[in-house]
Amino acid sequence: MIKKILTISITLFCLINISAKSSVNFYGELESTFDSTHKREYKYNDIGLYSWGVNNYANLKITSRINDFISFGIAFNVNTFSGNYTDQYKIFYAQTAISMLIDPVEYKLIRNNYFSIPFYYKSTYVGSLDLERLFFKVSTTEVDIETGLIRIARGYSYFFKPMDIFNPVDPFNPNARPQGKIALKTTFYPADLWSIELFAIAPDDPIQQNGWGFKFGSATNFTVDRFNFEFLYSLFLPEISYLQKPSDIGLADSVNNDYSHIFGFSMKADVEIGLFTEILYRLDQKTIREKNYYGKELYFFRGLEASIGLDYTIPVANTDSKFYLLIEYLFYGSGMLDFDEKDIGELYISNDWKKTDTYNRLSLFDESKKPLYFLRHNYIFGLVKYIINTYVSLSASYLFGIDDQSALLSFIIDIEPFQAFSIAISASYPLGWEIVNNTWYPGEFGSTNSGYIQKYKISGKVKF
Amino acid sequence: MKLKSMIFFWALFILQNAFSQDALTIIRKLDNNEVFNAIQYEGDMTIFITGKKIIKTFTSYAKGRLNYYIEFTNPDDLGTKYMKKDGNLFYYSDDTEKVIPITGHMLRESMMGSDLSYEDAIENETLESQYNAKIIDQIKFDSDTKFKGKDVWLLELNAKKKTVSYPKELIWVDKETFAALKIERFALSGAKLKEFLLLDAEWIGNKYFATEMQIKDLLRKDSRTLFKMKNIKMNVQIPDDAFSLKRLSR
Repeated sequence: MIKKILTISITLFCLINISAKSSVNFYGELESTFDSTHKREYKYNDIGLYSWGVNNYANLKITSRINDFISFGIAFNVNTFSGNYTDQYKIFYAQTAISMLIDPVEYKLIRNNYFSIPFYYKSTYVGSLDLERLFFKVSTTEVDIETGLIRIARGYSYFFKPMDIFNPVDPFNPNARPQGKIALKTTFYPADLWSIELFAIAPDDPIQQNGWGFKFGSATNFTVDRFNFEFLYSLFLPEISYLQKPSDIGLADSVNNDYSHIFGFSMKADVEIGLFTEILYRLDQKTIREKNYYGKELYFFRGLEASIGLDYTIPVANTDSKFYLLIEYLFYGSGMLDFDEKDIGELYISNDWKKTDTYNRLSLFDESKKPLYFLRHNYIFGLVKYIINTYVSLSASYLFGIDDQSALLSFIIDIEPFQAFSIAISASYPLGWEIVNNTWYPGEFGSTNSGYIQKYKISGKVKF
Repeated sequence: MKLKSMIFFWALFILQNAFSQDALTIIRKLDNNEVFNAIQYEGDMTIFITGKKIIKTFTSYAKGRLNYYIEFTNPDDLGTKYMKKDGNLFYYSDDTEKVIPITGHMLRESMMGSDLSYEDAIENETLESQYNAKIIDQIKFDSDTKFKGKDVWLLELNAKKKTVSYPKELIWVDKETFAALKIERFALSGAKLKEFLLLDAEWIGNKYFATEMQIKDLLRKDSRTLFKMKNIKMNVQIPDDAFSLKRLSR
């Protein structure tokens, strides 16, 4: 009896103590976007189709610092999709419905993108909910331990982020928050401005049970004088049993059945002009053993992804206005198409891809190719932002594929009319040689491949 | 005649020297007013710009001149933190989920949309080490604040090095408390860039500490920021790791 009373008393004491110190924060943002897109029609005279879409997106976060040592966090995204935003839903729904028959390549493509889980279909919209973060963190004087659905952010670049491989930012939607991964991260702090991380990340395939597919690694961040550095090493276990032929279990040859070693370096320099770089080298043992790189000739550069960038602000005399300039170059060694492969058609099993819309085109994809974010090797991103004042800015950005001279030109107006509320208006135009002559090879960012001729968006965002 | 001239110039030199000695003593006291072992406070910034009113709240602590930590608590900026460690500025937000150093040209940007730039926020050097000071007038303070009518020295400070953010400053120093009642900061061209006006201060120990001020970035159209501090605690115990990557990313 005394034991029971003692236990209850201690539990109550702990609970009171914890609740006295703990604080719960609920916050997030709600964004409504209206999209008007002039899509490619791919048939008849191809004058294009008008399409519209509305997306309401809420990112909701709850964090709690239970006491000085433990914190907890959960974040989730709620979406309603209408109009052309349901394209994502349609393909995901189709794949989910026939999940037992899912084509591995398409599965990988979907897995590498940012589709939320559809959970209901209603009049006027399709709704979705996905969990973005779910974690707790224990902080002691020597070490921080964080586990759950977390983000392991890497590198100092702004647009091309080759080192941010664990929870990559979607380069075509850099404002989206990166998807979380089930992981365990332990961070030591040998000095105030020096951290060493050890981490383990669960396999991408969530139903995989035999231990393959884990990623382990360590990284360190430190500051020396005016320079900030980050180094990374990571070991990727085979995605399937070691050396098992992917085709034996119905998977595409691009599935990795051997170990991979990832080496990364990033730097940001405190000079008058902002200078930053990220270099990542991926050594796939499979490619050395097979002496070819996923069906291509093996060269050292295949494993290299490197970006370098500069940014600077030029004030406009006697005003608060300024021009912000950003330029980044990316070398993407593993690109799906080589310098001599001019035609994107090399990626498809049928030449009909040019007559098929972007979503149905996935079924024509050549399974032997390794699905990647970028198709080619050399890219430049430029941004000019005219900041009229802290609350109004006009931007023009240009994502340019050097290898096929295609580009995505965008214009954005950002306005913050009052606290916690902002409006963004954007216009995007894919540019490629097909504009000049429709028999010329379509480029990666051109309208044939991207599926639209022009796109306009207006969004309002509330932070709370 | 020659001797008379020499005596006159010699006397002028001594007089000037005496004045500049005084100016030096004054800026040393000004510098000293801003030095503290450790401080902890809550605060808010109210930004008025082109008819809009934006309120930011925060908690902060600092140690000496080179280390401070500030965490924003207003709902739309929750999770945003800044840390100055040995004079270098770092930033963490829930959006980036990563510690980002604020460097180079970015330091001239407005801090959280206020009239204060990052550069203003991370002033590491003392006035004495950056400027040559001289008294240019002794007047009654005439700005419309609670300190109106106070006897002040008007100091002119000229930068010793070209790398200083503001090559020239004018400071109105209260003769009684050695508080800077008003500061005007100028560009090399002579254009006035910033204005700091003390609105309130309180004695904490032997220091007359600024608790409320108005900052105006004169390049911004129709803009001012009110900066208020409350629940100020001096010489508090601040843990060793308070200014570290660990603390910032917690």
